Amino acid sequence: MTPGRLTPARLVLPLVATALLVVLIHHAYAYVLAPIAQVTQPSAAAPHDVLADGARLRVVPPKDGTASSPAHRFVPIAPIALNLPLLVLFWGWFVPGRPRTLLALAALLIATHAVQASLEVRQLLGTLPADGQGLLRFWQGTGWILLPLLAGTIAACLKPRRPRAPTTPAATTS
Amino acid sequence: MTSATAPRLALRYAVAFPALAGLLLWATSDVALLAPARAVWLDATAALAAFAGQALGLVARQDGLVLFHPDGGAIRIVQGCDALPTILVFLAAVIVAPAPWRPKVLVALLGAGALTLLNTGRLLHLLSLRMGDITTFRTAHETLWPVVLFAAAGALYLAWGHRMARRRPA
Repeated sequence: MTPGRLTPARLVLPLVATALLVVLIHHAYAYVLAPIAQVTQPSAAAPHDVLADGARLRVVPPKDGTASSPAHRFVPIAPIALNLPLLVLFWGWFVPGRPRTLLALAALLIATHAVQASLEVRQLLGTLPADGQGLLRFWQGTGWILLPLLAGTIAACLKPRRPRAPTTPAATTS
Repeated sequence: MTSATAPRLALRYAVAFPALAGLLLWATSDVALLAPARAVWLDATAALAAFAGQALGLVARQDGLVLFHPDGGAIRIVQGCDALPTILVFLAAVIVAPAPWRPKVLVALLGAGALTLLNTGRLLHLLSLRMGDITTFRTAHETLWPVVLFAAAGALYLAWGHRMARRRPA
C-alpha cells in the first residue's frame, strides 16, 4: 500500500516531524505523564511522588520512613511513547492526507501512554494486580506497535476523501 | 489491478497485515513454546555482533550474551535487543503485500538481513557508548535506535512498494 508519488518532500517531512516529536518526548513528555501517574495511584498505597526526570519518571518514596529500597526508582518514558512519532512517520509515508484522523489517533495514543505510565508505576511499586500485569505485558510486547499499525493500515486502505463541494452560493444569471 | 478488485485487495491488506504482525509479535513475546527459537536468535545476534565487533576492534571478548569492550565496558544482549519485533513487522507487511511470491521472498530475505546488520551496528554503537556518559547511552538505547530501526523498516518497505508499483502494468 504505497499511494501517490514518492517525492522528496513526502520522504523528508515525516522524518523531520518524527525527529521533532522524539526530541519533545525526550525532553518534555515526562512532565505530562508524571502528574497523571501520580494521581492514578491507588489510594490504599503509600503516596509515592512521581516526578519528571528528563526522559524518565522518578518514583520517590514517601518521607514517613516506610520506604523500601532502593530509594528512587525509574520508569523510562521512551518505550511508552515512541509509537507516537512512529505513527506520524508511517502516516506521512503511507497514508494520503487525513490529518484529522491522524490527530484523533494521536490523542488516543497519548491516552494509552497515560494509562501505561500509570500501570508501570504501579507495577514498580508492587500494587498492580495480576490482570493488570498480564495486560501490561501484552501491551509492552505487542499492543504498543500494533495499535498504530492497525489504525494506519486501515486509513491507508480507505478510499481517498473526495474534495468538498464549494460552499459559496452558485452564481445567478439574470 | 482493476478498479473492482482494488477495494477487495485493500480490505484484505487492512485485515491481514495487522493480524499477521500481531500474531508474530505475540507469538514471539508470549508463547513459551517459541522461547527456544527466541534464545537461538538471541545467541545468533550476540555471535554476529561479537564477530563484527572483533573485526572492527570494538569487542574484546564475548561471554554468552555479554559483549566486552576493550576499555572494560560491557553490554548484555537481552530480549528486545535482537530487533525481532521490527523484523517481524517488516516481514508481515511483505508477506501480505499484493505482489508475486518471488520478489516477496527476495525482499523479505534482503530486508531481514539489512535490519539484522543495522541492529548489529546498533549494538556496537551502544557498546562503544557504554564507557561514556550514561545519559547519552540511555538516549541512544531507549529513544534513538528504536525509532531508527522502525524507520529503516518502513523506508525499505516504501522503496520496495514503489518499485513494485512502477513495474505493475497500468
